[in-house]
Amino acid sequence: MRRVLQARPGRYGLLAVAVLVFTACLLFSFQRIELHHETELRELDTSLWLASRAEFQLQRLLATLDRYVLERGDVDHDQLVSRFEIFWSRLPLLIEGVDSRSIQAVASAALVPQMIAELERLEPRVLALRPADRAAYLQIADTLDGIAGPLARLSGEVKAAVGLNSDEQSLRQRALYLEQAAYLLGILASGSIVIALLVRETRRVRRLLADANTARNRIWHLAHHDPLTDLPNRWLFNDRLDQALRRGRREGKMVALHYFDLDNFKAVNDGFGHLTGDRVLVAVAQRLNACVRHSDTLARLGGDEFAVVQSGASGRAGAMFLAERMLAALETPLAIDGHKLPISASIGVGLFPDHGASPAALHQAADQALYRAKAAGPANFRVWEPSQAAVVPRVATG
Amino acid sequence: MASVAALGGDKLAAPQGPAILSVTGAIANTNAPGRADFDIVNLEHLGLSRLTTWTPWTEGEIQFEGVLGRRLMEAVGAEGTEIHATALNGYEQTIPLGDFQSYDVLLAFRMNGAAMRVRDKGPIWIVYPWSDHPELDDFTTREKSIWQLTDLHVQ
Repeated sequence: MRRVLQARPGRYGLLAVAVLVFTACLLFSFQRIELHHETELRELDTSLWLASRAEFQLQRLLATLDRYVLERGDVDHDQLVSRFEIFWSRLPLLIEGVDSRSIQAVASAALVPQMIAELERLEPRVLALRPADRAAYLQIADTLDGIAGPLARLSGEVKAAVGLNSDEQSLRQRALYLEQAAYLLGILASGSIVIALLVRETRRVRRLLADANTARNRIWHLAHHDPLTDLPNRWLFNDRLDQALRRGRREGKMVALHYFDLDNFKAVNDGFGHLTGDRVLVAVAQRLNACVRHSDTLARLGGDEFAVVQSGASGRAGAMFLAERMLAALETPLAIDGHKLPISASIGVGLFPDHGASPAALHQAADQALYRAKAAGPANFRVWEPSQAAVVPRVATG
Repeated sequence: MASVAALGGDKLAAPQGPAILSVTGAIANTNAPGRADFDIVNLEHLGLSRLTTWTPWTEGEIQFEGVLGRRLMEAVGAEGTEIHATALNGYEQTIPLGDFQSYDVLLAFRMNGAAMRVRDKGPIWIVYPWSDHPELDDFTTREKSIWQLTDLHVQ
């Protein structure tokens, strides 16, 4: 569990980096798409714009020409020439350079060199034009009008070529842009889902591990405890006794082993039934539990037999004190199923190291002491005495 | 180039011929009230530079001659961050002064050896060095590459 905890920051760091890279890539893609979109719209604009500017400058030239000839006084010859030049400058823009590629592709683009040639022929006339020279004016205006038609046709062809009309084109562009944006949002959404799933799975696995741990603890507990009273069973008790003896040996301390047996349990069982008998055992376990210290081990060895490993007992007196306490704990009758049940027990005590150095020897000593206590009548305890070593083996009690 | 040294701090020489470019705004050196006017001779005296490049509006490489934007700004003692440029046809655009520092941007007035008439995008065309700097091939730069330039306002 500790290792899992320590591994966590690294794992989350990696996840954070992945999320960061993913987000960065996404943002970058968005930006690229936007740029691409903008570029396409502008390219489209340039051709249409170049074509429309040429038409516009021709109209301005024609208007300036009219005003100059009509002697309105607001246009001088230099301004007329300047307009003529400005219009001229728009024509090469239709057929040269990368910005006008869409124009160069349409049929009327082939007419542009002819338009420039017309302007070259027209140039001396424009330079020589004076106000009120109606004949020259009409010639110039006719020639320019002759250019206006093909120029308008060219404009129309460019519009058709780049996408019928620019509104429809930009709508189509917009749809495409939205489509790409939706596609990226899809990636974002799916990525988020994957990350969310990953986080959820990680949590689930961690919970499963925790559950497995709990289950393992539970299994261990069930294997080592009595299901009725939840006290340690014989296996765990023997283990604790071993430990207590090892520690006692190491630290030179005394260990007391108490054998505890109810005096009249068979009568309770027979008289009130096994269910009540079970409740009596649970109640007794509770009362005994209140007598022992945390460092002691109270166990149910089977039937109505209980035992206590008393670690660090303060000598024989300490052991006797606990035995007395346990007997006293049963003096008040048990209240089970509405009955007041008087119950008593006998206790036999074996002491380490005085009565035995091994678990087996200690078990035997306690067992023999219990036998002696039983013989002395109900609610009695005996500490093993060397003189009792040769006493007749104990007969099963109940 | 000898006359260039004489420019520092002094008043700029006034144009003898017709002015083709007028610089106004935040400038230290002038030759008329609040402005610096230039004819072709004035501009040539600032130092001629050549730039051979393609442009988005012409075919093939073209050899331009003119004065570096950087050099012109230095001559008028420009104290600003951008230039508002206006063309004969009314087209207006703002150019960051930084462009002139970062690149050899040319205020061209001769194209393939010939003076540029209005029909050839004259009298002055702001030309960026596209051949040497492919990164300049974008729309912002195209918009700043003004032809038929007549006025610059430093701000």
